[in-house]
Amino acid sequence: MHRSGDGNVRYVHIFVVGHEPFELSDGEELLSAFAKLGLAEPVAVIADIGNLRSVAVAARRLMASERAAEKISAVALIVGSPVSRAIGNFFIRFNRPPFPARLFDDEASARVFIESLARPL
Amino acid sequence: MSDARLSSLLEQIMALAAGDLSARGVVSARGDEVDAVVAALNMLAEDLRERELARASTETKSAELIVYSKELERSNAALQEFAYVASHDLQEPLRMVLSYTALLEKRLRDQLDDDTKLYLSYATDGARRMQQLISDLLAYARVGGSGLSLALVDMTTLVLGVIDELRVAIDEAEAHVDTTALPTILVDRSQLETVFRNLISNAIKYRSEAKPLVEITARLGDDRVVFSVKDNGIGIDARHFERIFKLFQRLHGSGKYPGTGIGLALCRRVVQAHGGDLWVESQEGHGSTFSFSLPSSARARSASAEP
Repeated sequence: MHRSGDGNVRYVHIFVVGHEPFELSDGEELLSAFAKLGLAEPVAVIADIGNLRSVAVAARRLMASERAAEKISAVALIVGSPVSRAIGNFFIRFNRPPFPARLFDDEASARVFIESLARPL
Repeated sequence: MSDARLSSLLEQIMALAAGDLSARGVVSARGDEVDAVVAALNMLAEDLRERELARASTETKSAELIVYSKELERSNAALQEFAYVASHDLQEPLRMVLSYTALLEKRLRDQLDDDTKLYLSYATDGARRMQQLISDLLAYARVGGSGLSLALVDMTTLVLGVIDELRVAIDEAEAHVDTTALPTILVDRSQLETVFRNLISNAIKYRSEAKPLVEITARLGDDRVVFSVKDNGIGIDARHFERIFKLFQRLHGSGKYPGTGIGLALCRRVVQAHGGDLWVESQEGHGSTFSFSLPSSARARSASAEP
């Protein structure tokens, strides 16, 4: 969790580790983790998905749902491999989350995107 | 790219192309471009499979709904048929009661004391009321039973015809019944005659001390035509607005205002069978306006279209 000088949360950085498929239960766990942060507003997320090999359709749908939008205001997906790029592209183009979402090759570019968003964090 | 991975990818594509949406490829630890294609194909197959399952489920539900709807239609038709036959069959024994009561009265007229004559008149009166009730019930059952016989009808002519039919009652009550020009629409003529006959009769029947004034108008909306029958009668308290449209519900005793309590229920049923609705606006002591809407898609451009 990254905070600005005034103590407000700027964004949450998450890393997907391991090569296991990302299932619906993983998505639910992620959303409940966000809920536990106790933030008043949805928060921007930088998600490093370079290790992802597959994501279940139900998990993709959950992460692109209005329920997810209650916790997430924007997402920058860092893709470190052709597979994760394919997964990220599929998610953005076909599942169409109701918040801004883009793919990046590195964390610096992802951070510039997140910080350029006017949405208060 | 090794031949084995290429073959595997090709097999997956061929299986998917053949409609096997369960075909999945293995994404290796390399995570290279071939794996990216396999991962994309896996996600595509998963999405397509889910859509296919949803479509199949919708089709099953639609088929179930069609079966259910047909069963409901059959059951409704059977119920209508039963109501019609039951009402029809009740008329015959009632006719016998009336005939033989009249015969008894005629034969024994000189031998009966006044009390017995009174009892006989009660019996005859009761039987006549039941006859009227059955006749009204038959009319009510017919509305849902045989469907609508639609034709383009000039409603001005129809209403003037009903007014003529009610001339005796109108003259007796010294009522003034007027209609503006009404549109030509697609309706079941005899059923709409029933509606206007009931509404105009009620407007005269439930009159106040003043001479009855009844006005029939029509208002054309975008998708509806609203007909209104307005009177200056006794009016209705708002808490009875829904009750009066229910079968056998009457606000007054049959002594003061004769009737069976079927008229307005029948009118609403006819209007609803035409795809419209019937309602009342009124204030006790200040007259009533009964209005009903009909779809204006049924409205004709020219009155000359009437057969």
